[in-house]
Amino acid sequence: MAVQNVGFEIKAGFRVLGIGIKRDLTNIRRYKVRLIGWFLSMAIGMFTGYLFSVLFELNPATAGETGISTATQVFIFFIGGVALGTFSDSALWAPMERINQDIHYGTLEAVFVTPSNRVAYLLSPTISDALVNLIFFIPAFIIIMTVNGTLTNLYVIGTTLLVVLATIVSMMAFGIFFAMIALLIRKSQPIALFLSMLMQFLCGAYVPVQAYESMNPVFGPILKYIAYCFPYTYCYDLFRYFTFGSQYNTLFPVWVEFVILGVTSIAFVIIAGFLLKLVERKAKNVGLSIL
Amino acid sequence: MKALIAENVKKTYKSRKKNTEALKGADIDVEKGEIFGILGPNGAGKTTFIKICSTLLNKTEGNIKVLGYDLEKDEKEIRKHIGYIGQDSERSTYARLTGRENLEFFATLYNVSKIDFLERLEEFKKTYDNDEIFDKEVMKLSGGQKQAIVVMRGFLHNPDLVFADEISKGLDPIAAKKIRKFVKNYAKEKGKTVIITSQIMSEIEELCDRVAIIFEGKVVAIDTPQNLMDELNMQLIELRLRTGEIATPEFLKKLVDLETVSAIEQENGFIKLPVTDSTEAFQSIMKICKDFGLNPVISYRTATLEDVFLKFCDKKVELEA
Ligand SMILES: Nc1ncnc2c1ncn2[C@@H]1O[C@H](COP(=O)(O)OP(=O)(O)OP(=O)(O)O)[C@@H](O)[C@H]1O
Ligand SMILES: [Mg+2]
Repeated sequence: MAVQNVGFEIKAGFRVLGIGIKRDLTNIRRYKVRLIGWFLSMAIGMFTGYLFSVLFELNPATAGETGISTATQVFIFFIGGVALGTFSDSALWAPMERINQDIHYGTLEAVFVTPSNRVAYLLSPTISDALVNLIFFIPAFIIIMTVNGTLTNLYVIGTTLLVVLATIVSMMAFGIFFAMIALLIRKSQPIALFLSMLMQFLCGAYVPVQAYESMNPVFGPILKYIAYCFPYTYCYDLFRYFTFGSQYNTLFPVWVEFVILGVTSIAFVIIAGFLLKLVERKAKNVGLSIL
Repeated sequence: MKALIAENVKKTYKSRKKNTEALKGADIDVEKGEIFGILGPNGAGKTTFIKICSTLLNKTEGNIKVLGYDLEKDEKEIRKHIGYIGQDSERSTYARLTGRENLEFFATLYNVSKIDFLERLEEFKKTYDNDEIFDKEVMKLSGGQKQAIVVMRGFLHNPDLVFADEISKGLDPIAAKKIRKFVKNYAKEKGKTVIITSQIMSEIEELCDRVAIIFEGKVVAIDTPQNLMDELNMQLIELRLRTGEIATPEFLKKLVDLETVSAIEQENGFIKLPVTDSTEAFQSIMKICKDFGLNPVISYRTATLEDVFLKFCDKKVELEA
């Protein structure tokens, strides 16, 4: 009986997830301007990646720490950062924007009065964003694999895509976690902006975490340890490891990074679930509209 | 079984600057199958009460049972069986989705099956008699059309109890009538319960089996509209003077001196006379008018729900009494 109930609930949750994704994709289809913005930021990111690759080639310190040195490799390094970075960005923004908008228009009240699964409702914007992101990620991925000369190497493609999947999962967990924090402290936009910058720069999207220490002996280690706390650090690192192969020096042994990724993702889900309860309780005291 | 039992419900909105006591011990019970109205002036606490009962707000004190479920323990179960139409929620649908897509979205949140949803949609289409609102993106609908979608959303999952806060807000008289008919059928044919608030007294009078009047966070009256009106025991004769006619002080004095007339109220050409015996009053008044050479339009009415509302909720009236 109880098991049946759980099954029923899970099925209902998946339906909510599905209809949420359908809602978002319909929205995007009818509001294409957003896609153009997305495309532009991706293109700008790639161009920056190219510029960086020209500049960074000359930095022997970075090369020594990471094991990558040629301009091509640095270019791949950056493009990979940009491509994965869009996922982490949408994870950060999507649930929060959805919730802010739904509070503003009173939609959240209509959602919260239903027996639907809240987590499924919060997950759908991230998944939709991730799906749309694929339109941009796939070309970037093909470029990476082509330049890297591994377009036909199924092992590299398979493992890198596995890392991408792990990234998406961990970012969904973080996204909900963050949306809840944002609701509790209210000033969500600036915090999100700060975090999104922080996560891209700090976690090694553009500058390898490995090189922090040699770049600045005082702040380098501090930043490095902060970076260790975010799952994205391992996403970027693992993605590169599987692109470049064994010549790339990872932060920790590969299996350790996978474990950390898994554990932090689960931790964020648990904390997010706890925060969700907190937010709902707060909402019920003051009213959803003025959360 | 009662659809709703609320005992001594209190709610204080706490904030750093000021605490607002929105409900100060409200008692309301609603029978199954009833259409129940909640009346009260702005800020009386109607919305607060409805939000508490529909699991959106915490009460500060009191006991509430919704459809036999304890509000605190069985929140999820309650949510499955109630519908909610919020005040100011005409923008609470997704603007870029069509009416139909919006309804489908929320039906899924209630875990309504696709087949059941389509059935409901047909029913709505028949009620509203205008397919356009289902096929257009919501942002291209008028305010009233948006509200119609929101109202239908509250009935999607065939709920046993529907809370409708300001149900006909922004609806034109024809649309409002359609919605009223729909609500009436919903309650009477399916045996479901509907609790509504409205500032349109005639709507409440037409729809509701019983009403509660909330004033400053307390229930000051609860009964059938008819009983409440009868209790006022009011009979009113109204004279409307024709253009050029003037009510002289002597004329007014004559009227007020009639034994059956208990008071007089005069406002630009209108004279209101509460009377105790209408037949007698009617004849005497006609005679006085004739004596003064006046030929006003004379009408007679008994108490309306508006009079009841004013009696309970107008502080000024209370002081005078
Ligand atoms: N979220 C809130 N925080 C603080 N005070 C609130 C909040 N919501 C309502 N109030 C106050 O509580 C009281 C009751 O408000 P409520 O919205 O329940 O009134 P109402 O009867 O629905 O009025 P109306 O007819 O205008 O809709 C009012 O004094 C209002 O100012
Ligand atoms: Mg209200």
